[in-house]
Amino acid sequence: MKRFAAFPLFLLVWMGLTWSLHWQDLLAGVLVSLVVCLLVGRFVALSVLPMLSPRRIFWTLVYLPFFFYHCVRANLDVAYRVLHPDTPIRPGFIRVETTLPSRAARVILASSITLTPGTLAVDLVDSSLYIHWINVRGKTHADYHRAVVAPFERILKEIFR
Amino acid sequence: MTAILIGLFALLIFMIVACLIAIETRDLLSAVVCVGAAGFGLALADLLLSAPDLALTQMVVEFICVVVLIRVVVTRQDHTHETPKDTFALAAVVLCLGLFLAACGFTFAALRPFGAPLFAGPEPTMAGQYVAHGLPDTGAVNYVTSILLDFRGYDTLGEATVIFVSIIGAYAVLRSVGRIGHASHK
Amino acid sequence: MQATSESGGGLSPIVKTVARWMAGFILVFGLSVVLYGHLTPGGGFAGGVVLSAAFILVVLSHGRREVLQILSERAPTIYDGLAALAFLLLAVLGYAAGGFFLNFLPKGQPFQLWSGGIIPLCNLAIGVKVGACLFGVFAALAVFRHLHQRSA
Repeated sequence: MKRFAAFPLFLLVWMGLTWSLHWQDLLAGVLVSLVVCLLVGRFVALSVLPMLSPRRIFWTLVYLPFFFYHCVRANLDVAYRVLHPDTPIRPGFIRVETTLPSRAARVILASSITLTPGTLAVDLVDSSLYIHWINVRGKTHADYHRAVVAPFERILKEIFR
Repeated sequence: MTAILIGLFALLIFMIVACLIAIETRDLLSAVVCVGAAGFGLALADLLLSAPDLALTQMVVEFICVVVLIRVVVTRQDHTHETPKDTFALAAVVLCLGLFLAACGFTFAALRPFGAPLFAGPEPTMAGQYVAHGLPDTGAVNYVTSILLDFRGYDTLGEATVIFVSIIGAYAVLRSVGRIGHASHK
Repeated sequence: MQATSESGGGLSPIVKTVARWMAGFILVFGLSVVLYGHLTPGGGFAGGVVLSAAFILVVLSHGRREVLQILSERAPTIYDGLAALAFLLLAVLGYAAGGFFLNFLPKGQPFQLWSGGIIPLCNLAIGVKVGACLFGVFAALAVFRHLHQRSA
C-alpha cells in the first residue's frame, strides 16, 4: 500500500498535462498512475495523506510567498555585488546544523537555500548542511545559522512538525 | 519566409562551428558539449521549419546522448596522440570532397527551390494523398503518426527491428563482461 | 562529481532525494507523450526516450552500488523483448482483418484518446521498447562494466 502513496499526485500531474475531464483521458490517467506507482512507487516515497492536513496546507501557503520574498531580496543583493565596482564578496564554505526532524524537510531546506542566489547547499550529512556562501558574514555557527538557515527553518518546522 | 531563412542559416553556421570545435578540441568533455550544441541547433532548425515532432525527438535524444557521453567521458582518463601527417590521405580526401561538392552543385541546380517541396503541388501527389486520406483512413489527427504507424507501418517495424538488434548486440557484448565478473566474484 | 562517481557511491543526499521524487513525474510525462502521440507532437520514439531518462536520472544520482538494490538489471531486457513482440503481434493481427499492418480496430472519434485504431497501441509498444533499450544500454555501460572492473 505504501507503494501507492503518491498515486493522487501522479493523477493530478496527468490531469494538468492533458487538461481534459473526458472519461477516456481520466481512465488513461488512472491506469498510467497505477503503472508508474508499480514501477517506481517503491523508492519515490512521496506520500499524500500527511500533505492534506489543514495545518500543513496553511503553512505551505505561508511559506511560498515568504520564500519568494527572500529569493527576490537575495537576487537584488547578488546583483548589487556583481555590479559594484569593488565586487564586495567574501566567498567561503560554512557548516550549519539544522534541527529539522525528517530527511524530506532537510532536502526542502537545502533546495530553498540553493534556489536563493548567493547561497548554494553542497552536501547534507545527517543533520549538518554544507553551504557555499558568496559573502560570509559573522564568525560563529550561530551567526551563520541565523543568517542563512533560520528564516526558512522556522516555517519548515511548522510544516513538518 | 526570409526571417526563417536567415535564422536557418545562422543555425547552420552555428552547428558547423560547433562540429569543427568538437573535432579539433583536445578535451573530450568539450567535444561532447559541442556535439550537444550542434544537436540543439538541429532541434531549433526543426522547430523553425515547423516540424515539432522531429524537434521533440531530437531534443530528448540529445539530452540522453549528452548525459550518457558525459557519464562515459568523465570517468575515463583520455590521452591524445599526435598522428603523423599523411600527404596521400589528405590529397585523397580533398579530391573526394571536390568530387562530392561538384556532384552536389549539379544536383541542387536540378532541385526545386527551397520551400517548394517535391511532393506538393496542384497535380495529385503523394503528400496530397496523405493529407486527403490521413484522417478518414486512420482516425489519427497527427499526420506524422498516421504515416509512421499506419501507411508506413512496415518501415517502422523495420526501424524498430534495427534498434532492437543493435541494442541487443551492444547489450550482449557489454553484458558478457558483467557476467564473467559476476561469476568470478562468486 | 569525479570523486563520488569513482567510488560509485552516488551524489549528495539532496540530489538523491530530489531525483527519487522527480522520477515518477518524469514517467507520467513520458507516458502522456507516448499515449497522445496520435493527437499531439510526440509519439513512441520521443516518449520512450523520456521514459528512459527517468531511470537514467536515478542511476546517475544514486551511483551504481546503491542502484542495483532498487532497480533490477534484468528488467530492461524483459520489457524490451515483450514490447517488440507486442508491436509485431499488432502487425500480424492485421491478417485477421485482411492484411499485414491493417488497422483492424474501430477508428473512434477524432481528437479523442481512443481514436486511430491500433496507432496508440503501436505507440505504446514502441515507447516501452525504446525506453527499455536506452536504459538497458546505459545500465550496461554505467553499471555492468564497473562490476567487472571491481571484481577483476
